[in-house]
Amino acid sequence: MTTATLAPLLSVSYLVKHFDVGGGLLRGKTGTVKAVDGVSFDIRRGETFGIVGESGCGKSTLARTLLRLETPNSGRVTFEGQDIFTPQALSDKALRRRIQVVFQDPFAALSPRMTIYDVLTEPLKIHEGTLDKARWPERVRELLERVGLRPEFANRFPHEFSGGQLQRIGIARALVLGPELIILDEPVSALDVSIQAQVVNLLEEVQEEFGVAYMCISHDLSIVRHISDRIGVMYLGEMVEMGDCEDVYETPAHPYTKALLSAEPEINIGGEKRQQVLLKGEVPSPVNPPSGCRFRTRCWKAQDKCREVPPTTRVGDADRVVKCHFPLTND
Amino acid sequence: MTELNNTRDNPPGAPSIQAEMVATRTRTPYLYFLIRDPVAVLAALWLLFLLFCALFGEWLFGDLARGMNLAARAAPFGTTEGGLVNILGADALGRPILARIIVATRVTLGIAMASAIAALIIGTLIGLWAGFKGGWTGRVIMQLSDVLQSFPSILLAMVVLYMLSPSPLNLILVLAVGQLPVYIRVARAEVLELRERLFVDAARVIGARPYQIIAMHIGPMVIPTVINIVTIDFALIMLSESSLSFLGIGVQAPNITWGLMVSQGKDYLETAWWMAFFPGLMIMLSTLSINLMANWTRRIRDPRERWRFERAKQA
Repeated sequence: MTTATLAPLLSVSYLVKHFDVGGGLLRGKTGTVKAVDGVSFDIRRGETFGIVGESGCGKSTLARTLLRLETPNSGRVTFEGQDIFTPQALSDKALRRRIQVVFQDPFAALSPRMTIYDVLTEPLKIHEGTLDKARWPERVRELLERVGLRPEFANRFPHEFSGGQLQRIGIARALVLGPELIILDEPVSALDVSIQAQVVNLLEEVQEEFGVAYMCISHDLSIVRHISDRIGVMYLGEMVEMGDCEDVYETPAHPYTKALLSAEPEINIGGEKRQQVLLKGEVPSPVNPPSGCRFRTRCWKAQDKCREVPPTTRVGDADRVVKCHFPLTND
Repeated sequence: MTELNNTRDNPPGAPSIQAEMVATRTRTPYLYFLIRDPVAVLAALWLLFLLFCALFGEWLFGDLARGMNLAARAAPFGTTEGGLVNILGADALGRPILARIIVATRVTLGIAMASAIAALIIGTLIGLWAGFKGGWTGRVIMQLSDVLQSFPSILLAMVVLYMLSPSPLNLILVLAVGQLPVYIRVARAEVLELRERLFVDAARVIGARPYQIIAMHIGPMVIPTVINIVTIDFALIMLSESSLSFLGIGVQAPNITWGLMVSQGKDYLETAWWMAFFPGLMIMLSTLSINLMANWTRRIRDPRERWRFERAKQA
């Protein structure tokens, strides 16, 4: 975290992505899914920013929007100060090189008809002139060795590999163009537990070696805790809490964070038992989120104010951000 | 960067690395696997025979196939009177069926192949476009294609061929137009499914342009499907062509096609079955061979099925 004082690499402010539901030839739209609703955060060069939350909280939509697979309804995203959604930026291939992705499902992320060599040289083909064609085999070899695979694998097809191997290939593909930010969308949740640790270690090695920043999305709290410098907690399209990873894990300020963390299984021998917080009810529909604070329907601290006034984002010490009227840290 | 440097023992683009990768990328030639598959061999031999007939049939039997010989009128199947060429019998004007079948190969296959390929290329491109564009463009294209599909193609062909001349080119175009909706529909459906796939998203993240996505990812997945359809279509087109020829607006004499021969022979089915049977058999065997070869080609080219062949090789 020596780079913490520098300007952010990626800066997201008030990002909104809504999806219309219903519709058709004669019926109008019947509602709007507020998948991402006014999310702001920064990612600094070389750090890992983790995002946790239940399924359906908008984590993946956030990732897809930052990858520009979706167009946001409003908000601003800048990469080193440059707005990435201007028409010029959208057609700027050089910017594409700097943000890459590792997807959750390694089987689906690779074309079944392309050899690994083709997969790894595709970015070079698209970005002509990045590397002399004569050096492609060498580059493929380097990358495969870097992610712990044998260079001969270049001639094989994706169906000949295991999930862990494919995810290593996915990481190699993300590295081909030398990105500065890699978005990890549930990078290990499709893998066996025994393989997860290897892939997480690989990600850490790669970060150390190339100084790349990660935005790691996961519902696996222990993995996010392990690899993140800072984390953000999402609930129903909003970022409810954000801050230094250990701070948030040790002293959660938002009731939702506390509940989420207490749901994580814990190995505890002889020690004091962690206080369990059980939430009642289901996650409300993002089509029609509750008024005021979105978490109030399940919050044990909710009061009338929570129904009437949406909480504002409070910034505390050490860039700790909480979106709650009655944060637990005040207790 | 230490590990990266380790692999740089060789100078950039060193032949050893490249040669190693290229060497392991070459695989057993297709011919090797073909020889091991008796059914595919038979189909391939039959297609080679047809190619030979199409190239040299006219030159070998052209006069024989068109010259009337009243002595041999309706000569029965199996006769050797007037030479071996009459072995399959002769038609109502005494022209040997065998010679006519061989001579007809060129025009039959030519017309069917040209219209099948035209329908394949045009239909697939329209379908890819409709699927990729989506929205209103896609919807309008699909509505038009539905209209075309619901309109009886034989009626369409009759109107067009009556108005224009029944030249081979017009015939090819009319037959192709009738088959377009199948390709449009299939190509569009495949694109709609494929463009949501994760590896297409991955390509977009890398910065691939739409045409690059179609060329690198969607095309290679759609082509095997439409190729399989074209082989089935091939037979349909041959049959449509024979109906049109029967109606007198298809292939015109002195050209001969198998379809035309079936049509001409069907009046004599009770008395001289060979007149319609053998050209019909040719249509069946040819479509069967094309289907078998297409299926074999699809399997050998699919990376997920190729191992079957390779395992058979090791065994």
